[in-house]
Amino acid sequence: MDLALNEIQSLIQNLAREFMEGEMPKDKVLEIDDSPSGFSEEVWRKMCEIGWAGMIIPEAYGGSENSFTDLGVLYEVMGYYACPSPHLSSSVICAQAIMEAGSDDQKKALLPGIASGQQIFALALTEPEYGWEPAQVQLQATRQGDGFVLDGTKLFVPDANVADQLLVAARTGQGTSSGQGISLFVVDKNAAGVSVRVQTGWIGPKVCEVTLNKVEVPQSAVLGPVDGAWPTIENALDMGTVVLCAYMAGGTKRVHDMSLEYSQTRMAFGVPIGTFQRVQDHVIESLNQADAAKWAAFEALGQVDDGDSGAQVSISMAKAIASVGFPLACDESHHVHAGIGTDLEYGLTQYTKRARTLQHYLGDAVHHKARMARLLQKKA
Amino acid sequence: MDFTYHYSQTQETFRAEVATWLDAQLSSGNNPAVDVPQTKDRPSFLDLRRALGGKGWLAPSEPVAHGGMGASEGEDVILAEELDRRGLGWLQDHGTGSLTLAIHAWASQPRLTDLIADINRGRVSIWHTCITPQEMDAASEERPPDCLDITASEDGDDYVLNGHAWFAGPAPTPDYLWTLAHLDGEVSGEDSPGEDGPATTISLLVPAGSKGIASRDSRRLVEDGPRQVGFDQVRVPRSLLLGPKGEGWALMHSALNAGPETAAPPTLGPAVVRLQEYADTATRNGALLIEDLVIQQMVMDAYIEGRVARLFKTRDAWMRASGQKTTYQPAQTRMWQKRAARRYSQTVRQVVGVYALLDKKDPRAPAQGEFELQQRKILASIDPTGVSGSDADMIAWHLGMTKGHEKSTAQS
Repeated sequence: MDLALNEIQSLIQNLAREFMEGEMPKDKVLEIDDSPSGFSEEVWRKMCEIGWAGMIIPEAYGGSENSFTDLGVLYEVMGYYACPSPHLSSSVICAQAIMEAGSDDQKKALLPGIASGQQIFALALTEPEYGWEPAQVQLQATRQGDGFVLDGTKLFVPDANVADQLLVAARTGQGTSSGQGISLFVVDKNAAGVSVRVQTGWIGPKVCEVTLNKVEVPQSAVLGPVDGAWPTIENALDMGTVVLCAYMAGGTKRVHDMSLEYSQTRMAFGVPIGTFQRVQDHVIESLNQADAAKWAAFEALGQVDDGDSGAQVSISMAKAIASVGFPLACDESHHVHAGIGTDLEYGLTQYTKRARTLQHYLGDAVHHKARMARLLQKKA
Repeated sequence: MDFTYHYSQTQETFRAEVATWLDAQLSSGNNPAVDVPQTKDRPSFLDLRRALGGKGWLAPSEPVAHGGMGASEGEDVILAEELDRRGLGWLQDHGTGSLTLAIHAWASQPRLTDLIADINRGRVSIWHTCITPQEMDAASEERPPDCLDITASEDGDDYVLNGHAWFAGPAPTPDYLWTLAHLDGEVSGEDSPGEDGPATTISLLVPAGSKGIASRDSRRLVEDGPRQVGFDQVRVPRSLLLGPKGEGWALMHSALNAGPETAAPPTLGPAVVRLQEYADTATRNGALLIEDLVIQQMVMDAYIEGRVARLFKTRDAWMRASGQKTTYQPAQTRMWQKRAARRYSQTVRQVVGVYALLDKKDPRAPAQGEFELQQRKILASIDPTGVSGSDADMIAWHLGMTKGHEKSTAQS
């Protein structure tokens, strides 16, 4: 048992903190959030120059082949600073899918661009019947000649607005089980028939509606086996989920730190409000949630790196914890901060907005607990 | 990061020895984990505790001379694992861990240091003073709770105690009462009790058979519940003073805060496993309970709470093993465990239904009545008159939020 960071992870953590301190002050986060794209090309370029875009990609394709725990260390810091970027979509979820299911030619063609950050990918999976189960993939891909025609709508797709390429999950057959009959396609965002609209609301990071209106793609755009892409998608979602949990844990910790600091400096009746037991309860709850999220995420990350058979359960557990804990910690923090907490310039709302968006992204607590029950029953 | 323990062949051999011994002890079917409630003398619990202590397994990491077995970290964990698997993890501490810590840190009298071995061998039982969260809130490291209601006067070589307090402990009758008392007549002015200055408290181990001690005997939900004890001119020799005069509260505060140094049990709590097994096998309306979507969510909530408790324990054990000083973490772990237990209790009533109320004497009781036992035990554990009720205060104290510890730079 050793829960310490290794030398590489400590370096990543220090570098990430230094970078975020300089590049991600709260007003910069607010500025990026308020921009139409929710994306800073300048920050993204700098992140890529450090090599973060290729962390899980093999060296042969331009990456640095780090462990998922290494990546989790970076994500925890990114979450702490509420760093907005298309990294999760492109450099984790899509990169993982391509690494797992792509042909040699596809890997050579696609992965170096992701590793350098010059190409941004986004996974288009969820649809109007929002959910993360295979049965909810209904967008149709119909065979036409040597290729396919994709027709339908994807909703709540993060980073599609800034992506160059989309990985689109589509139904190519019905199959005998809900996991069958699903295929994955690489679709150029500029292809005829593709349109992207940023959805509006108190959402962060930004999500998009992607419309595919009879979009034609060649056979070479199919990633992995036709009708058999779900295991690849599920694994890519798992890898995305486990690092997202580290991000959410970082955000939860920041919210706790803000609450604690405010409770120690804000005076009422001549004493800091933190001396009042009811205020303490809010601060302690946020600490409990931050710690639970952190250790659950890092246990799952370690199991992913070790190829542990219990990793899927741990990933879902970590997401169930983070999906409840991050929003809850934000609520607690709003209790502590009261009025000033709702001031957009203050910085708390940037976390609250993320907590409530990420609560759903890659599956909410209800989804993940149901998955855990299935997995544990199967195991027994 | 590595969240798992790795064992040598020798340690695995030790595990086999422990498992065989424990199974033999429990083979009578008289599992003390089930027998705890509503029995007057609980011989199986005390016998097993003494038997464990006799092998040095109650406090395995202590040296042999102190009643332990001088165990390595791995052996310590193996014991915790094997006890935990059989629902007996609570036997290793049960309220005395904090006391042995305090004796180690503070005692200079041979009589007290000798006591460590007896405690660790399960030969003596200690009840300790309960402090409510409200009292803790009013207190700080330097200043004891205002409502501490026992006074001590010096008289020759003795202290004379008067007053009353609530105590909790593992046995139906204690050998010693670990108490805190205000020292009368020694210090005055700004140092007097109840003022903001340094407190004048002492921490004492009082032989339970001392003249003038009266324990109010009442029926309780579980035998472990707190009891009120009165002191009427009770004479206690100075040799049983724990720590320097005037620092009783600081001693107790730090000892309770440090908590017992038990190894991290890496198994999922047996109670959670029991609930999972029940939901996986019991049927309602012709379908397995676990297939009911609502029940599924509740059972997974219990599973998650149990796993997080284990993660927190693992973290605490790692911090100690790697020489890091724990601060709020042990209190957080206790707080999480208690909250998880409370939720678990609710979940059991919802998942198991009315059957959760049947005790082990009823042939229709599921899980040999352990669900029913759990209902009562959890109520006792959340009793605010137990020291463990102050975990939140401990955390707040470590975060610098309590009175007297607020950030000095605080400004309006």
